[in-house]
Amino acid sequence: MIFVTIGTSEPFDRLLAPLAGLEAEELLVQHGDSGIELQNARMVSYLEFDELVAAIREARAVVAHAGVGTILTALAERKRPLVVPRRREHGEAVDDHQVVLARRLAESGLVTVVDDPAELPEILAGLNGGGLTTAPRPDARLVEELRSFVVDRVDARRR
Amino acid sequence: MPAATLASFPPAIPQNPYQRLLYQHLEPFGVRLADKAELKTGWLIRNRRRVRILHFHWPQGYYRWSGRPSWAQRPLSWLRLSLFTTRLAVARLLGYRIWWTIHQVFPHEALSPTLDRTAGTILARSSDVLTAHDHATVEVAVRELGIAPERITVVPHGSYVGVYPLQLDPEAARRATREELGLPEDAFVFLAFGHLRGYKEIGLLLEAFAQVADENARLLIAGLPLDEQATAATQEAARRDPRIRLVLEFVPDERVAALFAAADAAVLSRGDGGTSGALVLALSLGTPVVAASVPTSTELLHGERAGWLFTPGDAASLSGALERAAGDGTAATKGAAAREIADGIPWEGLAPSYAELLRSALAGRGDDRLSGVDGQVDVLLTCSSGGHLLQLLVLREVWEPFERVWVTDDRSDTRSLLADERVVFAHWPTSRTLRTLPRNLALAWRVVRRTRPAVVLTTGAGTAVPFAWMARLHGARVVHIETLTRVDSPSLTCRLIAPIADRVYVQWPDLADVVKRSRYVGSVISR
Repeated sequence: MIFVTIGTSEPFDRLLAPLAGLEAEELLVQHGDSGIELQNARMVSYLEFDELVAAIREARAVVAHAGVGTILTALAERKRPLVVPRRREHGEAVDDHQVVLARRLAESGLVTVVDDPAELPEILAGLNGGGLTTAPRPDARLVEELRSFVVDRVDARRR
Repeated sequence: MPAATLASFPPAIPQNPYQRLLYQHLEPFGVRLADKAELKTGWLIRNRRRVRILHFHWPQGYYRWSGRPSWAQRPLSWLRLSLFTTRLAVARLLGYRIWWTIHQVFPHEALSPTLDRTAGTILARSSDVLTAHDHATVEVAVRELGIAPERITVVPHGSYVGVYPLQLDPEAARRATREELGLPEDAFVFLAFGHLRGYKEIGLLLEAFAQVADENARLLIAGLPLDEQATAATQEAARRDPRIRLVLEFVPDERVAALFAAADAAVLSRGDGGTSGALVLALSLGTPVVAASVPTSTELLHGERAGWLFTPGDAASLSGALERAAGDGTAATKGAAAREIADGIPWEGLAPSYAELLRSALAGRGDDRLSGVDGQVDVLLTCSSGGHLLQLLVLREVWEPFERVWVTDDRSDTRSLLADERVVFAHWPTSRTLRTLPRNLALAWRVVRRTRPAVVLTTGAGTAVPFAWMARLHGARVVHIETLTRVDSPSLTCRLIAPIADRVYVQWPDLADVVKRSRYVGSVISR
C-alpha cells in the first residue's frame, strides 16, 4: 500500500495530480482541502492521529508534504518518506521553509526529496525497501545539556 | 446549575417585558439578576467575584456614538468600538462568561453596516454562549459574522400569553375599544402596533393600504412616534383616507391587549426579518398576522396557518395580502391557530435550555481544564500540537525522571500521544490569532500558580508563549528549543520567548549565528 498525506494546511494539488497515473497498487490519500478526485485511490480528507500512524506503519511507501509533524511521525515508524516540499510560488505555503527543511533532512538521508511530483509514479515503481533500520534519536549532547539544566534547577529548589 | 449572578446589557428595565420574563424564568435555576450593571473596566473588576455572566441583547448602545455633530458619529463610533473590545477582553480575562442573544445582526438605524458587522464579529468571538430566536437570524449571523453555525443555539422567543391581561372579556373589550376609536363594529381592522421609527416600513404599509379597495377595511396605527418623517407621512395619509385611525403615543401595558382585542389582524410591514418579538406578541394575543414572507415569519406563523404572507418590500403584494385577510373569512380560524402557536412556546419550557447552556459555559472554561492537576511539579512542558509536540516527546529522556505537567492543544495527536501524561489543554487556536490570548493568559496564571514549575521546556509555537511568560513571571527558568523547521531565521515564537528564556537551543548550526545567545548542540533527529 502507498500512503499519501498532505497534512491539514492549504490544498496541495500539485502533489496529488500525478498520482492519477498510478495503477496496480492500493493507494490511500489524505487530501485535506484539495478538491482532486483520484479514481484509483481511497480518498480521506482528514485522519485522526492514530489512523495516520496506522496508515504509515502499514504502507510500503509514504509520500508527503515536507511538514515536520508528518516527517517525524514517519521516521518514528522507521519509514523514509518521499517528500514534496510546499512552495510559496504555487500558493501552497506562506514561505519556502519546507524546501529548505526537506533539503537539509535529505542530506542526512532521513527523507527523499521529490522536486517534480510528475516523477512520483516512476520513483514509486522503482522503490524497493529503503526504510530505516532504527528510528532517529536526539543528539546525545542536546539531551545531556537539557537534562543537566533541569536537574540543576530542580535540585536548587529542593535544597 | 450552580447559582450565578447575571448582568444584562442593556440593563433589564421593568417596561421591557421580554427581559423581565426571561430572567424571571431563569430564577428557579439559580440565575440571579444583578441590579446594576455597567460595561466599564472598574465595574468589571469590582464585581468579578459577585457576577459570573454578562448577557448582551442589543449591544449597539455600547459601541455606537450618536451625538452631534453628525459627521463625528462614524469616527467616534469606531473609537467607542475599540473601547468596547477592550472591555470585552478585560471581562474574559477576569473570568466572566459572555452570553449574546442575537436579536438582530444589523440593528435599526444602521450608521454603518461595517461598524455593526465588526462589532458583532468581536462580540460573537468573545462569547461563550450564543443564542438566537430563529434560524433566519442564525443564517444571517453565520453569513455576516463568520460564526460557525453549531455555536449558535436556537431557543424560540417565549410567548407573551398572560402578560397583557384584558380588563374586560374579549367581546366587551373589542366593542369598547372600537367605539372609543370610532371603528365600526363590522369593519375589518388591521393593527400596526409598535414604535413608529423607519419611514420605509410605514411608507410601504400606507402605500399598500391606499390600494386596498375594501371600504370596510380599517387601519389602526398605534405606537410612540420616533421618526419625524414617518410621523408626518402617517398623519398625511390619515387625513386623506378616513379609514385610517392613529394612536400616536406610548401605549401603556394595560392598553395593549385592548388594542389587539379591537383588531381582526395585525400587520407587520417590515421585511428585514428581525420581527420575532412583535410577531410573538400578536400570536400571544390570539391575533393573526399579515407579515413579510421572510424565514422568521414563515417559521413562527407556520407558513400561513396563523397569517397571510406578502413579498418583502412589495406594496402590491402587501395590498393583496391585506385584501385576502379582510375578505377570505379565515381570520377567526387563524387567530385560534395563532394562540395555539403561542401556547407552544411558554417561557417555562424554554428556560431549561438556557440554564443548560449557562451551566456548561460556567463549567466549560477555567477550572475544569485543570482537573487532575494539583501540587507542585518540576517541569512544565508546553507546545502546540503536531511537529512541535513530536519534537518535545522525543526528548523523553530529559523530562521523564521529573514530576511534570503538559500544556498543549486539544487535538487528536496530543490526546493520543499524551494519553498517560497529566495534560492541561489550552484554548485553541493560537496561531495567527490573538483571540484566545486573554483566555490562555488567565489559564496560564492558574496553571502556574497551582503547579509552581521550576523549569519550562518548550518547542513553540503560539500555544507555548503565554505559559512560558507566566511561568517566568513566577520564577521558573525557561528553555526554548527552536523547531527543526527553522533553518535560517528564527520563528516568531522564538523571538517572543527568547527575551525571557535562560537557554535557546536551535537545531541547525547556521541558525545559532543568527539568534543571539542561542546554542547548537545537535537536533532531535541526529540518528
